Amino acid sequence: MSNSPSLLELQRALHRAIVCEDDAALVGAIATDALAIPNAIAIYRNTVRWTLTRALCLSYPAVNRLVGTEFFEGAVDAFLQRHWPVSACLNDFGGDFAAFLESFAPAAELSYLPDVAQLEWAVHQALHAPEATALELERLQQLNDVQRGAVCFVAHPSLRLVAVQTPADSIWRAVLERDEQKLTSIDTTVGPAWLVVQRAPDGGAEVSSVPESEWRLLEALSSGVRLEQALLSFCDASPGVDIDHALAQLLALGRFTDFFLERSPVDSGAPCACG
Amino acid sequence: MAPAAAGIGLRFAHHETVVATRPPVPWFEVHAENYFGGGTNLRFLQAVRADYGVALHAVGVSLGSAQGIDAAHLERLCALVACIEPCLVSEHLSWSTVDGHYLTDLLPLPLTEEALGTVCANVDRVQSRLRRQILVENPSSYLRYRHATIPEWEFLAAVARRTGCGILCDVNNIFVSACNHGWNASAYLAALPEPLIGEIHLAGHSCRRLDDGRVIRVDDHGGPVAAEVWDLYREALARFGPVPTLVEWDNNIPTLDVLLAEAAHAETILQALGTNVEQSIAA
Repeated sequence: MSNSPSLLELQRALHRAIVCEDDAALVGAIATDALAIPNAIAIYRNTVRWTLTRALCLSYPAVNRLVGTEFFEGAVDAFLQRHWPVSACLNDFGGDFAAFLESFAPAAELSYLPDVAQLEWAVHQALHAPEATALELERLQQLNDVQRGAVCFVAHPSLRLVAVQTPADSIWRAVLERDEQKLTSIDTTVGPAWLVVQRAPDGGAEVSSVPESEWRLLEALSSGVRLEQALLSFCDASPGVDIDHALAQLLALGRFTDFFLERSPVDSGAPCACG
Repeated sequence: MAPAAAGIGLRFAHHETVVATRPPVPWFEVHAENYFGGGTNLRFLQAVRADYGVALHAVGVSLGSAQGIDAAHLERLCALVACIEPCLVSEHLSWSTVDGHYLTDLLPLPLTEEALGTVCANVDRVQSRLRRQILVENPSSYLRYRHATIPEWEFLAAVARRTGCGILCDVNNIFVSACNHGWNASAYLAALPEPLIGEIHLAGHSCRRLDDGRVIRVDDHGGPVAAEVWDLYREALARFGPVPTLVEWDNNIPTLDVLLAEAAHAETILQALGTNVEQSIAA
C-alpha cells in the first residue's frame, strides 16, 4: 500500500490489522514521529476484541460461569478467528458459538456445553425479539371446521424451540442461580430435553421442558404447517393425548400472534377430526 | 431539543432503578444499537421515555465508511427514532464497517479531502433518511496518518458547514486526543463553530505509562471525569454558552447515585455559567 492510500485501501488495511493481526499494509500510512504512540494499532485491536468478548459474555453468562473466565476468553479468541460481526448491532453477534463449541477441542469433555450455549442463544434472542400481541382465541372460534383445518399460525417473534441431548435447562438454571448443590446433583447424561423458550409478559425469558410430542406439534405449527396436518401428525405420534387441550394450552400461552388460511393442495373439505 | 442541563448516559445496569425510582435527571442518552429489534430493553427505554427526554447516540452507523452507509442498519436506526422520538440523534466522526465486517470500535479516519467528501455524503444520507439533523462527535484517537491534511477541528467544522449537521463536542475526547497527539485543547475548542454545538459529552479516561515513560490517555469511560476535563468543560461553556451536557460511564459502571453526583457537578457548573452570564448582562 502506498503512503497515501485511498480511504478504502486504508480501511481494508486497518481491518486486516485488527482481524488478522497483520499490520504490514498499515504501518507505512501511520505517523511515526516523536509524538506518535508506539503500537497504537494494538489499542484498537484490543478494544475491538475486548468489546466482542464482553458481548459474548453477556449473551452466554452460564457458559462463561461453567468454564471460568480464562477458558471462556480462550474460546472466544478461537471463535473470532472464523467469526466476525456482520452487523453493527452486537445483539446479532454470536449465534454460531454453540456450533463452534461442538468442535472446540478443549471443551470436548464438556458434552453439555454446546447445549447450554444453544439454550442461552435462544434466551438471548427471545429477550431481544420485537413485541407482539398474542392471538385472541375468539378469532379462531369464528371459523368453521373447514377453515380451522386450513389455519397456519404465525409464531410469536420471541418463541424459540431447542432440542438438546443433555439436561441443558437444569444446568443453565442451576448455574445462573449459583446453586452448586443442584448443579453437582444433575446427571449430565440424562437426555434428550425438548425446550420451549419465550419472553414472558414481565420481560424475562421463560424456559419450559415439554414432552417431545408437544414440542414437535409446536415446531410444526410455528413453522407454518397447516393445523389439520400438524394435528394428524400429533395424533399419530401421541395416541390418546387430548389434542384439543394441547392446542388450547399453546394458544393460552401466547405461542402465536396471528394466523392465515391456506387451501389444501387437494381441498377435501374434511374437518379436522382427531383426539 | 434536549434542555441545556446535565443528563446521564443510561446503561442496562440502571434500567430497573431508573424506572422504579424516577430520579430527578433532566434527560437521558442511550446507545441506539442496544435497542434495535425490540424486546425487554426497548420496553425499559419506552418506560423511561414516558417521563424523560431521551437522546439516541449511535455507535455503528460508520459515518466514515468508504463503502457508504449500511442500508439495513440505517433502517433500524430510523425505526428506533420513530419509536422513541428522541430529543437528539448523534454519531461519531469515525468508521467501523468495511467489506461487511463490523469492527467494534470508533476507528480513526485519515483527515483528507477524500474522507471529508465521504463523511459529508454519508451524513447527508443519514439526515435525509431520518429527516432530521444529527450531531457528529469528535472521537478520541491514538494514531495519526501520514497523509492527513486537515486538522480534526477544521474537518469537523467543515462537515457541519457542508451538511448542516450539528457538533457533539466531547470534551473528554478533546482532552485525551490533545494529550496523546500534542494538540492544544483550548485551541481545538476555540476552532469549533459555537452556533453548531448541540451537545457536550463528559466521561472518564485512564492513563497508561509507556515503556519510554510517556503517559497515554485511553478513553475508556471507566471512571469519574478527570479534574482537567472539568476545567476544559468550564472553558467550553464559557465559549459555547449553556449546552445540553451528558455524563457517560460505560465500564466499571457505578451505582446510579455516583452517576447522579457527576451530573449534579456538571449542572452546578452550568448553573454558575448562567449566573455569570446574568451578572455580565446586568453589568
